[in-house]
Amino acid sequence: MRVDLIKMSAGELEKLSREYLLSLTLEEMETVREYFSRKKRQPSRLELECIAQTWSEHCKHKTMTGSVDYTENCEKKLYGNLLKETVFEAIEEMDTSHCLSIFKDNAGIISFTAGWGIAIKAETHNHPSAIEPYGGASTGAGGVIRDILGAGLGAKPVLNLDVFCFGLQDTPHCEIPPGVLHPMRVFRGVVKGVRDYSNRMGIPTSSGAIVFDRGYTYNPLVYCGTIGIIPEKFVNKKVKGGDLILVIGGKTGRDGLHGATFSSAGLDDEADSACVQIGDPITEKKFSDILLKLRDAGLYSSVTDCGAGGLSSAVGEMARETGAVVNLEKVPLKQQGMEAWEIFLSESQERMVLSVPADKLERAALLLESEDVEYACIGTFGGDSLKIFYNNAVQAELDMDFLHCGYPGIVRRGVWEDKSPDKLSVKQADPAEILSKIFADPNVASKEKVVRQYDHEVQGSAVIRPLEGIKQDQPQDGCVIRPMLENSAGIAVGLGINPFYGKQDPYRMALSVSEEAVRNAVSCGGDIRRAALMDNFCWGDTSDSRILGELVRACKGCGDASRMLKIPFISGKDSLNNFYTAAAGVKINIPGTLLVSCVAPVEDVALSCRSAFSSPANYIYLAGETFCEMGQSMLARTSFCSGSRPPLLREGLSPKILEFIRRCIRSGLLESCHDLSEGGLALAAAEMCFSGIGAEIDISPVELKERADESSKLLKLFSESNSRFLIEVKAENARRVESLMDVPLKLIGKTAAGGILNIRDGNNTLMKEKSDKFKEIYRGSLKW
Amino acid sequence: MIRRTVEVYRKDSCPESRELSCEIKELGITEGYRVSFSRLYIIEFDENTLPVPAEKRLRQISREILADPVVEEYSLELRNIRGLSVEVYFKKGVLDITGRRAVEASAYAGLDEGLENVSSGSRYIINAPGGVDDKRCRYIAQKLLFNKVIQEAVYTSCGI
Repeated sequence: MRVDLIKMSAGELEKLSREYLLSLTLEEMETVREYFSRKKRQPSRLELECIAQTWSEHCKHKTMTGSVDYTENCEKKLYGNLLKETVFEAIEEMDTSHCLSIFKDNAGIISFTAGWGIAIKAETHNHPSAIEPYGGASTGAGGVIRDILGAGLGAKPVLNLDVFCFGLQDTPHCEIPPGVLHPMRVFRGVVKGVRDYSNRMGIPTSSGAIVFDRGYTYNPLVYCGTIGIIPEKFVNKKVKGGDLILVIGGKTGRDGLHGATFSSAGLDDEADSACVQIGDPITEKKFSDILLKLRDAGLYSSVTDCGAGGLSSAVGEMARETGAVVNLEKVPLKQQGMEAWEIFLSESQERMVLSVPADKLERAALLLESEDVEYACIGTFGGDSLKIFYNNAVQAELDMDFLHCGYPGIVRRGVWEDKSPDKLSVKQADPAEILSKIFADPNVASKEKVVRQYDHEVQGSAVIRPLEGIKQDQPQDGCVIRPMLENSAGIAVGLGINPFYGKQDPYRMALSVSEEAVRNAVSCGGDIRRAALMDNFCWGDTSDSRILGELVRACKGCGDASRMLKIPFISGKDSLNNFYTAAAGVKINIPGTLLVSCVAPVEDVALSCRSAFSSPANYIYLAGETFCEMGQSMLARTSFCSGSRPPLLREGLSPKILEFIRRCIRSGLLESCHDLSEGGLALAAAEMCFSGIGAEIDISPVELKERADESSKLLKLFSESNSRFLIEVKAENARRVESLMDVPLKLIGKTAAGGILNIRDGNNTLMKEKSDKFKEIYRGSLKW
Repeated sequence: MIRRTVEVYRKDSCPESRELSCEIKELGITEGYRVSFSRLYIIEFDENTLPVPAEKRLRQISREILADPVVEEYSLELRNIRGLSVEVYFKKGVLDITGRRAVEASAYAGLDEGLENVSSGSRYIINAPGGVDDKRCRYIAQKLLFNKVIQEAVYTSCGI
C-alpha cells in the first residue's frame, strides 16, 4: 500500500502523522517527504512506520542527544549534543581502563574478575505499566533481561533490580479520572508483574527502591534493570555481510504495535490494547539458556533483542553498516492477515535476532531444536539498503544513511532560573517524635512486603540480600552477589533516587543520587576504583522550556558528579514525555526523576560488609562532614523545617571519604557500615539498631558547618549532607581506622546490649527509645 | 466444534478472594462485600478427531493439567453461587499465555488429539450479607477485577 505523501501540504502531513500514530513533527514529516520526492516515488506504509520508529524519541533519544539553546540565570549556552557535552565529557577526563563497553551496546560493560566482565542495563516501561500494570511491568523485566542477553555476544543474567515510582497510596478514588488506574492498583500490578517474570526466569531480584509522590499518580515509573556476566572475549560483536538474519523465540503478532512511538508521546484517557504486550517468561527462559550455548559454540557473529520497534529496530540497528534484505513471509506469525508494517513493527515479546554465518545455520538449528526454541531465517545482511519483501513484492527500500542519519536535528529551548530558598527555619520538637514520623513515611518505611515476593536465593549467589540478620529484617544499603560460585569475587550494586531534591534543584539531585548510589555500593564492599555508573532519566514534556531546563541541569549534575567521583557513566536510558493530558488539555508532568545505579566489583565477598550493628561495646564513628543542607530533606518533608537547599557534593571530600570506607572494608576493619541519606544520622543509627544491638551516641563532637544555635542538634541529627557514613569498629581496630587516612572522622559513641537507641548532646539526652519501637513503625507503615 | 467451560476453584479459603475483599474496603465500600475467585478455561474440541467422548477428555485435562488436586477442585459447569458473577476474558488479539501453556501441557500429557484451543479467564462472584447492588458491583469490577484495555467482562446474576 503506497501513501500519497509527496504532494501533501503541511496540514496533511501533520494529520497523517497523527492518524498513523507516527509521533513525527511537521519538520520530520517534511524531511521524509523530501526524501521520497528525491526518490521520485511514494512511500509505503511500512517505510513510514520504519522511519517513525527509528526516529522516535524512544529509539533515537533526540532530546538527550540533540541541541539545546539553554539559559541559566540569564547566562546562555548552546549545547550541540546535550549528553555528549555533559555526561560523556566527564568520561573523557578520567581513567576508563576498566570499562569494556561504554554507551555503545545494549548494556555497559566493565571488567570483573580474570577474563570476565559485568554488563549492566536498566530500562523503563512507564507508559505500558500505566495502562496495564501487570503486563507492562512484566514485559519491562523481560525486555531488560533480553538487553543483557544481547549485550556483546550475550551475557548471562545474574541479578535483577527494580525501582518504582507511584502516586500516593491513600489517594481518594474520586480524584482518579476515567482511564487512569488508582496508584494502589498500579503498585500491586507492577510488583506482581516484575515478581512473576523475574522469579520464573530464575534470576534473583535483590536490589530496588520504591518512591511515592502525588506527581506519579497519572504516570507511574517502572525501572527494570539487569546485571549479567560475560567472558571478556565475547564483549565485541560485528554483523558480517552475507550473514543470515535468524529470529528466535516467540511468534510475531499484533500485540505491542506502535510501542516505540506510543512511549515517545504523552498519555491521555484512551489507550489501545495493541499498545500492550503480555510477557511469556517460559519462552524467554528456553532461549536464554540455549543462546549462551550458541555463543560459546561461536555460531553467530552478532545478536540483539527485539524490544521497542520490534524487527524494525533490531534488524535496522544491526544492519546499520551492512544493509539487509528481509522476507517478511518467513516470520512465524501468531495470526494470519497481518500487514507488512504490522509484522515488521510488532513488539511481540521474547524474540531475539541473530546474525548467523550461513555455514553455521545447521548447527545452530540443531541446538535450538534441542530446547524446543522456535526460529526462522528471515533474510540476509548485506546490500547497503534495508530492502523488505512481502507477498513477492518489494514493500520497502530505505537507504541506511537516511534511516539512521537523515533525522533533521532541531534546537530546543531550555531555561533554568535559580530561586533563592527561604532562610532555614527549624521547629523545635522531640527528636524521637520526628524520627517516628520519618519512619512512617512510605518513602522510608520498609518495603519488606514487596521484597519478600522476590526470589533472592535462586542461582545460589546471594551474599548481601536486601534484608539481612537472623530475622532477615535489617535493611541494607546495597546488595552483593557472588555469581561464579567457584570464584570468591562478587558484584556490589547500589542505587540512588530522590526526586524530591529535584523539585528544588535537579543539579543537586543529580549530584546527590550519583553519590548515594556509589555510597550504597561501597558500604557493602564494592571497589570504587573499578566501579561504573548508569543513568536513567524520566522526565516530563520536554517541549516545555522550563522542563527541558531542569533536564539540562540534571545532566550537568551527572557530569559533575562523575568528574568529582572519578567514576564513569557507562550506560543509560531516558524516558521523556511522561505527562498526562487532563481535561481541557492541561498537561500534568511527573517530577523530573533520575535513577543512578552503581555497579562495583568486590574482590572477595568474605570481606563484604553489612549495615546493622553486630555486637555490643564497639566504637561508632561518623565519617564525613555535616552541613545545613535541609532542602527537601525528610525533616522538611515531615514539616519540621523549611528553607535551605538540597545537599551538594564536595570535590575535596567525597572521593576521599569513599576511598577511606573502601580501605577500611578491604582491611577487614569494619563490623558494620551504613551510609547517611534520607533521615540523616538519626535514621541511620536507628536502622543499624534493628539488629537488636543498641547504641549510646553523643552528637556533641559532630561539627555542624555554617550554623550554631538551638536548632543545631536537630540539624546534626537529620541533615542529609552527602559523603557521610556511620561505621562500627572493634576497640582493638580503632587506632588503625583513625590513622588510615586523613578524613573527617568523629568517635560519637559505642554499641550497647539491650536494643536501646540513646542519643545525647553532651549531657542533654535527646532520645532514649527501644529500637523495636521504630522498627515496628518502619515495618508496618506501607500498605500492600 | 464442542466448546466447554471448566471452572477451577480452591478447596479452602482462597488468598486472591481474601486480598480482594480487603481491596473492596479500600474503595470505601464497607457493607461487607466479598468476592470469591476461580479460574475459567474455555476448551474447544474438534468432535471429528476427538478419540474419546468429550466429557471424558475434559475430565482428563481438568484433572491432569488445569487443577492442582491438592488444593483445588474443578467443575465442568459454572458453579451456581449466589451473587453477581463477573467473568473476565482477554480481548481478541491479546496474548493468552495461560491458555497457550494449557494446550502445550495437554500435548506433553498426550491429551491433545482433537483439542483445538484453550482460552483462560477469571470468574469473580461478588456477594454481600444484605444482597448486592448491581451498580456497586460494576464499580468494584471496573476498579479491581479487570482492565478494559486488554480484558472484557461478562456480568450475570446467579444463585437466585
